[in-house]
Amino acid sequence: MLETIKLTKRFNGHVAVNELNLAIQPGEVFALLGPNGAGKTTTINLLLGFLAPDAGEARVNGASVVDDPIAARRHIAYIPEQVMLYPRFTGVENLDYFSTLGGRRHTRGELLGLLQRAGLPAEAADRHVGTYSKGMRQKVGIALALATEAKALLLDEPTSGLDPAASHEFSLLLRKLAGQGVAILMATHDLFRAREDATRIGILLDGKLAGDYATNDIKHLDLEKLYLKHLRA
Amino acid sequence: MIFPHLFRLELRLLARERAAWVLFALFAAALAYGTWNGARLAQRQREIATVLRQDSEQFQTQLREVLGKQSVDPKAIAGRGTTAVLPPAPLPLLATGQSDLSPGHETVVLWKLAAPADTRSELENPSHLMAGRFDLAFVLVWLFPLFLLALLYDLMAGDREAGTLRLALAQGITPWRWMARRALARALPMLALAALATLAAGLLDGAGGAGTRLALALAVILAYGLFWVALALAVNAVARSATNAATALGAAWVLLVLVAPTLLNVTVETLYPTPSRPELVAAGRKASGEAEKRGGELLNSFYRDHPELAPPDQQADFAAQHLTVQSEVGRAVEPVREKFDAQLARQQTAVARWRFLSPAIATHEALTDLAGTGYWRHRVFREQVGGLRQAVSEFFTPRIHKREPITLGDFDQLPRFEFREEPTGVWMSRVVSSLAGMLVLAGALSAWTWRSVRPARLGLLSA
Repeated sequence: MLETIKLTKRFNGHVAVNELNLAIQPGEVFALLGPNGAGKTTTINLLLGFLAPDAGEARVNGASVVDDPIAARRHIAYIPEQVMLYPRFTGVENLDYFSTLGGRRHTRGELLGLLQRAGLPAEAADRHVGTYSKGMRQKVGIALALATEAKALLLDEPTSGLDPAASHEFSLLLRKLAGQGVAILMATHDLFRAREDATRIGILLDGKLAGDYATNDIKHLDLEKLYLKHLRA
Repeated sequence: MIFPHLFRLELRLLARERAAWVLFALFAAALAYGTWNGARLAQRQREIATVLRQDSEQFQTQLREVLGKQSVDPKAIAGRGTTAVLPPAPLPLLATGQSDLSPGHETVVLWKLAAPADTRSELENPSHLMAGRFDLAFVLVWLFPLFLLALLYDLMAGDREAGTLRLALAQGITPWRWMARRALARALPMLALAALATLAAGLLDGAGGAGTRLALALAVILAYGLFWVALALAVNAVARSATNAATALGAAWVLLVLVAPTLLNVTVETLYPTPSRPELVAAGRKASGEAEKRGGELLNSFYRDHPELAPPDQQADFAAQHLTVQSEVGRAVEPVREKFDAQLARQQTAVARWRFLSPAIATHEALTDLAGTGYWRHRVFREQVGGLRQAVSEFFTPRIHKREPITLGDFDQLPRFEFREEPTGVWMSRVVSSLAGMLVLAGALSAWTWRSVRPARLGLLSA
């Protein structure tokens, strides 16, 4: 599971994340909504151990990201807004490279199977990723999450720039991963995808969690009103 | 099996870069040209040494034959001279060193003991002396770091800009391990080419028993390469962009490879200025003129001090007077010559002490030492030639004064030159200290980088 306890980060006196408490259970998809500068990406950077918190704690599957960052990161898969891969490598080579960095070795057959499960067309696996669309690169990112058997998945604006079909396909994959017991934190501006894919929705304002709702309790229109209400407050 | 697999993947990634192949080809061509260039000089010097040795052996054979039949006037043999030849360097292709500046042979003639050595047979093209020779050491010391840095400058900064760094480090590998593996994989082909060229230089033209020197040369080259790899890692750990990293590494190359050696040369030349060669020649001429004017007086004084050397008829000839004048000239010039040699030695000692200012200096000193073309081997040669001059003077001077002919019984006592190499422990301690110094520098840089890119400091990764 993913957990933050009074997690705090300041930049030059400005509080980017303010005593944030989160607990995302296995199988849960938590959508973190908020305007630009609300602290979503900073929260993800803190969970990845890329930033050191000023106060509080963050844990991934029980491992502290400060005390044991490598162990924490081994339980995490991360899909940024733009999955940047090596353009001179093929899809399967990129997957091989990044999964090996995490300490896992797979055969070519296994890697092809993972890419297939992530929805990448078989003919694309051996093409250089320089020719890939954003959606195809996102699928390599999903395959990487599958390859690392991550317990937690961090997504930073994953559907931004995807066409509706690709976005839908991506959602199906997310739900499949959640179904396998992965705890998912998705930072997004996409209210529609948040309502469709998440089991819980949090609204982050000035680094503080301003609201935390179960998706089943709110409709699409209610979510938009709720979000705007928080922004105006 | 994770590490070798990652290593292979990094090499595969490198192999897909066209620019990398261009760099490999250029470096290989520079190494080949440097080796060929060094081989030409080594060949020329070996031919000169062979001719001189054969000439000397032929003279010895003929002299023995003549002495078997009759005794010979010592002036005739002394006038022929005794040639001292520095044997070919153990690894001449590795570095030209001082072999294009300092003569590798000298003919010691009794009548010219006070004159500076004749180096006309090895006159070098002045443009070569100005620019330095394009030999293997030049490629390894000056160009090798440039080729390495061209492959390593965007080790981390490039990935940070491209966005692959975040994805890579999110996989649970420490930044240090990721960088170090990548750096070693990318540096490996260049290190291998440099090592192969060094090995080839040793195997193509190495003297017997040069195995230890060759092994140490390989170690020096690898340590020098590792220093630049460590520097690239350190710069990449802090540089905000690939452009910044390239600029910083370029500046480091200029500073360490171009500026530091020049500064050191200027500093030692300022601290310990050498008397000019014309000054030495002028001092000799002045002393010679004065001594010739007092020729008779000097000779009488000499015979008063050495009555046992006075000729049987007490009538000194021209040869005896010349030797006495020459002895006086030698005494007059000696302080200038000693100052010249002492200042050179002080300069070289200062260079040896301060060579760690730049690994380029330490590497060049170590390579010329290992090649046998450095200052110290030539100095040992000059010292031994000094011994030969002494021996020639001691053998011939009394016989010429006393007009004693040389007989077959004297043949084995005739002064001859046989070069004794500097003891292994002496040159090895200089090379090993250079090697250790570079490893310490590379280790210190790596330790600093390891600390600088620890996860707690990864704030630099945030957008």
